[in-house]
Amino acid sequence: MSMKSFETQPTSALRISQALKDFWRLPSLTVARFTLLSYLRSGWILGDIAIVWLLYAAFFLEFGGNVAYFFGTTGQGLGALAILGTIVMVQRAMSARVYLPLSRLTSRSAYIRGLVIATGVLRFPLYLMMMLLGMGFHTHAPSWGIQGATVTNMLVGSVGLLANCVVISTLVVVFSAPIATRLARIALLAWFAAVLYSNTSLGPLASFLSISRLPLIPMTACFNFGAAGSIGWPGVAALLIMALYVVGLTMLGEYWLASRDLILQ
Amino acid sequence: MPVIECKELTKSYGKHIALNNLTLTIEEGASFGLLGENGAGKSTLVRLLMGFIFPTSGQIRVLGEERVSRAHARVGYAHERPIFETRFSGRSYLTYLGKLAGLWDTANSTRIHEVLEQVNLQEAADRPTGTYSKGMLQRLAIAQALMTNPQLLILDEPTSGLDPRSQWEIRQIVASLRKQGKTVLLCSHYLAEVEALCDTVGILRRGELILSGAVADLLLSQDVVEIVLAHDQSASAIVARLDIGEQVIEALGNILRIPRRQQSTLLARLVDAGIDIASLNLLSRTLEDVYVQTTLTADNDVSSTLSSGAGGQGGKP
Repeated sequence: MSMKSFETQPTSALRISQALKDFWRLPSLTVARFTLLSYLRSGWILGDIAIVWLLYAAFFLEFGGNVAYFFGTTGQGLGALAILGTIVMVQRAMSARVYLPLSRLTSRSAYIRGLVIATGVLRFPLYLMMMLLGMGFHTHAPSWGIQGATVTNMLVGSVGLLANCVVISTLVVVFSAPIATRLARIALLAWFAAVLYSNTSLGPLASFLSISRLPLIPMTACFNFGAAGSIGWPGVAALLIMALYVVGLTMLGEYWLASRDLILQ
Repeated sequence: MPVIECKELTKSYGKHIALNNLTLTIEEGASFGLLGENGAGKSTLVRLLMGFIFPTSGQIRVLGEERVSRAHARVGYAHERPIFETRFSGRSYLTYLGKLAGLWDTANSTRIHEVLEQVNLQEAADRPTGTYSKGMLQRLAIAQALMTNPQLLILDEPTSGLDPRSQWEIRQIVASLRKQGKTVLLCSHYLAEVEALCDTVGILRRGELILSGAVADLLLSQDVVEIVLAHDQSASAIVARLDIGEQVIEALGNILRIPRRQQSTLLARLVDAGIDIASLNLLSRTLEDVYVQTTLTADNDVSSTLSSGAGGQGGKP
């Protein structure tokens, strides 16, 4: 018995190693790595870094602030950066240069999955940089750190913030040209308009349009993780829905891209 | 075995018909030249074959696959204007594309070494592609097309815009690939290049395949025999007398120009009629002559159809 387990151990290790190797070699991960590398070498990453630095300079260098302030400000800033950075990355990746990678793939799905992974992964180092800067030196007393920051509330807040940024970047990838049609993009903008109107106005129309805010409930829950300092079961449900958003949006993007004529310049 | 099969293939963008009812078969091992002016539908056909766009109607099959992207591993494709990441070296870009095709580790590096050697790009392989000349970029495009040792190569205007030396280099590469027995679909504006590299051609005109066939047959069919009549006899008078106007290309002075395929019939008629012939000359045609003749005929057909249509509508007497 002991001999048998001794013999199977290396086999299992080999299987795991092979599975990891196969995973690493997935076409979508290969596309993601190359897209990220291309973004880094193109110099566009310096733009992201500059924006993170500006966010820090504008909101933290002078004021410092507590955990709620940090996640409230950073959540919005990095959310906006997720939109900008993803637009640039997708426009670079979906030019005529896409023909050669696509001619090597048996389906377009791997390419769009790669883009979603690349844009999502980039949120992590940018957030890490923001967090380190935010926790670092500022002129407001006490002269450094975030007031009330603990390992737990920072970790919990980071999970919520990153989940929001990843969903935003996925949404931008899927609704970019040439993946989504013009009609789909108009529909998305109309939904945004309905959300903003119902959020800022009063009256029967605004109350009716408040149903457009329902899909944002999980995002709001994640946004509040840092201030609350805990996740809880509703938070876990929100995170699961966010994961479903990413998967669902990616599948929608795959479906759209698979049926589109690609005439790119 | 057919490598490419298109049956009644049509592609339209709104009201514009880019490709109209195209039926085409390219057999394994053939080298097929696709000719046509800008906007004739060559690039549309290539995009359809690569699965970048989808047919409006009709059928398409590449290496037996109806969903053409499934054949990608066995197809090498070089885009007409190859765009590479300028900050990556040729080798690293080939590594990426090789990985996408499932080539990793030693298999990847060995294959890259082979294809770079094949296109003579070893020395520049580690330089960023942004520093490459146009000819080098085209060679890199062919190198990436060869990465998976494909059965079928689709080369979209590989020598377009290149200097004569670079054009010659690309042609040498394509010629060597032909010798290896690869099936090649070559889109080009250069007729001499297609004549030299291809055994079969198709001419696209406004989305329609107006001519296709073996280059040798087409040239033979377009060859002209010049008959010089003795004693300064009037060629046009003889044409009228023998009523052979439909079979004659041109009657000028004492010279009759006839299609080579009509040579034996017409010569027999002339001899039977007791007409003396001073000499016979064979005027060989090039692919350019075939192309010009075919497209002019197509244009004339279109104009005559249009004018007859206008006559019908306008009540022309």
